Order: sequence, then C-alpha cells, then structure tokens
Amino acid sequence: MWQWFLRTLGPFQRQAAGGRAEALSISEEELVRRAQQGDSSAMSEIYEANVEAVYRFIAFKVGDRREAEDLTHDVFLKVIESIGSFQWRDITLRAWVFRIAHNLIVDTLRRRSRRPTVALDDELPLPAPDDPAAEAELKVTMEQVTEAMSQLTDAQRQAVTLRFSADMSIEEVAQVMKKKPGAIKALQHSGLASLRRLLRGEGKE
Amino acid sequence: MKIQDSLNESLDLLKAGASVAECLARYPEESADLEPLLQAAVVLRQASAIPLRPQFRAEGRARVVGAMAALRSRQARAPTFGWAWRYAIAGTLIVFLSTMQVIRVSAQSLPGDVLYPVKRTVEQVQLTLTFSPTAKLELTNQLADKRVQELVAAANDRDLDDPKQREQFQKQAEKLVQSQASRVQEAASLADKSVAASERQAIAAQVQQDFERQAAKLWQAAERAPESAQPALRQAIEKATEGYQKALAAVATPEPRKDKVEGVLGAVRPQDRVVIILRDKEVPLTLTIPADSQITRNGAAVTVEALASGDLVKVAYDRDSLRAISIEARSPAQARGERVEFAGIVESQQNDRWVVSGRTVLVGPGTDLDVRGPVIGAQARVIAETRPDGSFLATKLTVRPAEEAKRPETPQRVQFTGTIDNIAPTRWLVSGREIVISQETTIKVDGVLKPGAQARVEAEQRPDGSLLAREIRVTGAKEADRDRGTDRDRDGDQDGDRGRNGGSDSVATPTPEPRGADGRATPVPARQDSRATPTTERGDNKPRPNPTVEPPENRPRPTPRQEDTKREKD
Repeated sequence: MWQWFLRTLGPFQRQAAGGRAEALSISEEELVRRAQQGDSSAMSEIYEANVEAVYRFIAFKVGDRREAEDLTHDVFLKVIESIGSFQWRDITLRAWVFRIAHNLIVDTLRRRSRRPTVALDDELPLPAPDDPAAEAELKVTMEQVTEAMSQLTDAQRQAVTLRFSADMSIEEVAQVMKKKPGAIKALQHSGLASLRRLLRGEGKE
Repeated sequence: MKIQDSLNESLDLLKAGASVAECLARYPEESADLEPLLQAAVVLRQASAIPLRPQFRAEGRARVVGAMAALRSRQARAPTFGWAWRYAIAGTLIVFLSTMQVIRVSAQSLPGDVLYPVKRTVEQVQLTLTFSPTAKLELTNQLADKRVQELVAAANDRDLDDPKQREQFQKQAEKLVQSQASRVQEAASLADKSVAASERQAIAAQVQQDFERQAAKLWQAAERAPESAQPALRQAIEKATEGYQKALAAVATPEPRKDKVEGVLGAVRPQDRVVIILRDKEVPLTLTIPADSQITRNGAAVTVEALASGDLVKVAYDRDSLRAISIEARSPAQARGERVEFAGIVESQQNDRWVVSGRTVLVGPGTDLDVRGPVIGAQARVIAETRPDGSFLATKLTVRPAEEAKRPETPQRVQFTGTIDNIAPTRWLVSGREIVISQETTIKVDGVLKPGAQARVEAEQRPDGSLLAREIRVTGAKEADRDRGTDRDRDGDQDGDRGRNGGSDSVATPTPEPRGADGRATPVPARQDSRATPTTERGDNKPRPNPTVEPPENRPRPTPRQEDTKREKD
C-alpha cells in the first residue's frame, strides 16, 4: 500500500520540482531502472556520463591526482552499492551522484584535518600539455584560483565548484546542496565577487 | 532583473560559447557590475578544466563492470522478504536505532579512539554474516582498504617518536597483514565454490587494482613517515604484496572440479596425449592427459602409449579444463563378460557385425534390436558384454536417426589454456585440440596472434565431440611484444604509466602479423580496427566466419597509431 502510494505520488513530486522536471529524462529513468536490476551496461553508461565531471569536481577540491582518481572510483562504487535505494523524488541522478561525491570528499578532508582545498600537486594533468608557456601560465592561474577558493566560505566554495568544475545547472547545484535555486544564485554571485577581489589581491571583504 | 539573475544567465551563455562582450551587450545597464564577475568566471572555468586520463576512465569502466558482477552475485544469493517481514524488521531496527547511531559514528573512528573497537566488531559481524564467497572477498577487500587508510592517516598524524604511539602503529601494521591473510583464505574458498570463469576474472582484476591502489598509498605513507615507522610500514607492504599474490594465484588457478566417467576408449592419440571416451551419453568425451595424470592398465601403472582403443576405462577428470586426473583401464581380455553401456555413431553394418564409433558390436540371437530409420550415420546406444578380442556382444542395440537423438540440455562448457599449434579460417588447433571458430566466437588478443602463442579457450562441446569456441583470449607471444615495444612507447604510451595494466595495448588482428623488411609490423589493410576475421589468407572474397575481436577492457583505445592508420585508409 505504502509503495503504491509512493509510486502514485512520484509524478506529482516531480511536477512540484518545477524546472527540475526537465532534468528527469525518461531515458535516464530507464537507465536507473536497468542499473537497479543489475545491468552492467546501464551502470557503465551512468559512469561514462558522469565520470569526467565527478573527477574534475574532486580533483579541484583535493588537488591531488591520485587521490582524486581513488575518490572517483570510490564514488562510483558507492553509486553501485546504493543505486538500489535511489528513488526519483526531488533529485536527479546526477545531483545524487554529486551528493555522494561531496560526502566522500568531506569525509576524506575531515580525516586529513586540513583545509578543504589544498594546493594542486605537480602531477595534476593540465589542459594544455603541448604548450609549455601556456601550461606554466595555467599552472600559476590554477594555484592562484585554488588559493583564492580556499578563502571563500564553505557554501560559496561548494556552489562555485559544482557550477564550474562539475558544469552543473543552478537547479542541480540546489539539489546537491539542499537549498533553493535563489540561494544558489546568491552564493554564486557573492562567491565570484570575492574570488574576483582575491585574484586582484584586494583581500576578502 | 536582479544582478544575480543576469549573472546566472550570462554564465549559461558563456558556457554555451558566448564571449564576455556578447554577454555584456545583453545587459548594458549592468555591464559595469557584471564584467569583473564574468572575467573571474572565465578564469575559474579555465582553472577547473582538469582533464581525465583516458587510462583511468578505462580502468574505472572495468571496475564498474566487476563491481556490478559482484553485486549481482550477492543479490542472487540474498534472501528476499515479504512486506510483513519488512515491517517486522523495520520495527526491530527502530528499537536498535540508538545502537546504530553509535555504530554509525564509530565508522569514522581511528585506532586509539574510544569507538574504534565498536567499528572493528561491526566489521567482524559483517564478515560473519556474509556468506557468498564473492561478497565475502569484496568485503574483505573493502576492510583491507580501510586498514590502509587508517595506517596512512596514522603515519601522517601520529607522533611516531613517542614509544606508545609507535607501538600502536606497529600493531596496526600487523592487523593489516592479518587482513591480507584473511583475503587469501576468502580467495581460496571462492575458487572452491565453482565461481564462473568470467566472474573469477573480474574478481582477479578487482583484487589486482585494489592492491595497486593500496600499495601506492602505503608507499606514499612510507615516504612521508619518520624513520622509526619505516620497518613496520615496509613489512606491511611486503606482507600485503605476498598476500595479494597468493590471492591472485588462488583466484586464477582454482581447484579442479572433479567428475567421473566410465566407458570405452574410442580412440587414443598418444602424440597429442588425447583420448576419446565413448560413454552412455550421445556425446563422446574428449580429454587431454597431462603428464602428471595417473594411468593404470590391468592394475599396473603405464604411460598413455599403453592404452588401446576398446579398453574399458574409469576416468576422473577436471570438468572445466577436460583434463584427465586419473585413468583406470582394463583390456577387453581382462574385462571379458562385463556389461558395458555406450553411445556412438553407426559407421558401418554388415549382417550382424556393426561398427559404432570405431568399436565392433556383434548382434546375436539374444540381442534386443530396436532400429528406426536409416542405419549408417545414425545414433546408436549399446548395452553389451565385452569379448576378449575387443568386440562387444550386444544385449540391446537402439538405433535412431541422428536428428532425433537427444541433445544435451545444456552444452558442456570447457575451458583450458594451451599453445596455438595452427590457425585456419574456421578451425584452430590448440595444444592438439581442434577448436571450431564461428561468427559468435569472441577473440581477444594481447600481443600477436600466431602459432606458438598461448590461448585461453572457453568452448562448448558439440554432439560430435568437437569444441565450439565461445571466447579465445590470446596471451603470451612475449618475443613479438618485445620486438614492437619501442614503437609502441613512441606512439601511444606518453604517460609512462601503462605498465600498471600489464602493458598490452595494441589491438592485434587475429591474422599472423605480416612484417616489413625493417621487421616492423605492417598494418593489415582489411579490418584494421577492433574486428577482424581469423583467416591466414587475405584478398579473397569467400564468406568466412566473423568472430568478434576485442581489445582488453582496460586498454586505451584507439591509440594514436591506430587513428593514423584509419585516416590513411580513409
């Protein structure tokens, strides 16, 4: 009875999610259903669709390539373990995956007892490996950005990282952070404004 | 419109490829406020574009497939409950919620913390309550991972110059070693439990990757740790390595699944060390005889050469690899008058003298003869008494047209590893055994496909006793690999990290690879990509089987060289 009730409620909850409903594509639902039934190819598709963004998100946060790769693996193992309990309610699959990634990062950084963002290591592959000058410049930029990011508030940093590293929409960031889209827009605005000041060496307001 | 909304819309435009100027043009009244924010966004986006190593993506995909296989196996063995049971269990859980809260918090604890013993106890209970060998191995893997993380955290955080903390750290290292020993046990029990070969491979790959990850973390920890912690860490790494090697060996070479058969020796090929046994099923059994097989004939130990067609045999064999473990043979003279039952194909018939799969069967007045349809080529089931001259006097002979003969409900699966003796379009010879190649055959090649290479064959035994290949994995051919190593490094392996996955990275065709005057491999013009025909000839238009040839899953593809080849071809 309860299951029937939830099934009946499902579509209304999705409608209530407003803009989020667009993200709930039928094919994605089908993909999740197949993955829940143990279909490896469906899970591979989920992996392919998200791995790059998850990795970027984690790498930007932890700053260490090997650790980022390990954590990315862990995220997808967790996704596989938990996909059976995933339900289409107020969150998209992608947002759910990033919530797992965020939780794992928080655990890892807590264990490290360091600041949430650390300097990027030398091993981290850069997007311009063929041009030494551009690479050097980009490395400096990355270090400056990483340093500036470490001075944002936790919420600003998470909103900005999800928006830019993970390429998420405002609605998806809102789902991951369990906030309203308006609040995310405000965090995005204040985060970018602080970042701009910090990058210009003006310090945080 | 609020500046926050204008900013958000501009960011979406930037993401879609618009320039900062184009975005500002859309919001002229707010351009002064927007510009610095958009400039910061551009810098941030540039710094965030951290690329993913292609090899990592492939590794991850293999892990996903492996983990899904393990999950399916676990689910298949998990009990299911009705709703009433679920409510009852849920009620019980509520009662224990407070306990669970403690357990949950304990999951984050580290050695030395008050809740750490709770965490270890919970893990032990988890292990005890996990019955499937696959799931147990997976859980042991996860726990070993946790121990490594704890060890690394301890090496970073603890003051190892303090004797008390150093002692605690050494104890931790010992526990890591224990968890490796547990892993070996699980792997060994897993191999005993008849896990499917494909699943075993996935598990072996998983164990290998876990080990690499854990070893890397331990080495990192060892580098950072103070001098006093070095011996314990190095010992842990050595023991972990040893444990993993044993585990991998146990998964890769499981205990044989024994089976027994009684029948008549239909043929013996001493040069190939192969025997064909006629038994009571329609399908004759073809077995290879390893050098360590125990063979007796009339009670005396003999070699394979002493066996003769027509001998009555009792054989113990490995049903996966179809290798004989022991053969107990008796000559027809020794076994005269004994009742025997076997099946075969009628090869000829003259009056009362029949030949069934090479054996002479005599029909006498007392024979219960039941014949339907044409005789020659039909399937015969024989119940007979042995005669001293090696022939059989039938008490019952049933003959049915071959198409009516009962086929085995599930074809017997066979897998073995051997050396490729010969490669022909539709048939290969592997360690003296003929393997039929069909369109459904998947061929995976690591290195170069040529006679002399090692091949792992998974096949079905067909009614005529031949083997229909389902998958052939070609490995070895190390010399050929070495020949091409320099080229490969130059062409594709720029990150120097490929050795982690075994280094087999070129998509070989199943055609013996032609070479130019400089000794380099020459690209095969037809079907250069991941699919190819298993032919040794080229240039003809004859239809031929088209088995799928796949590169290993963890192989980066396509390599730059293959892309070049494709472009040239185009």
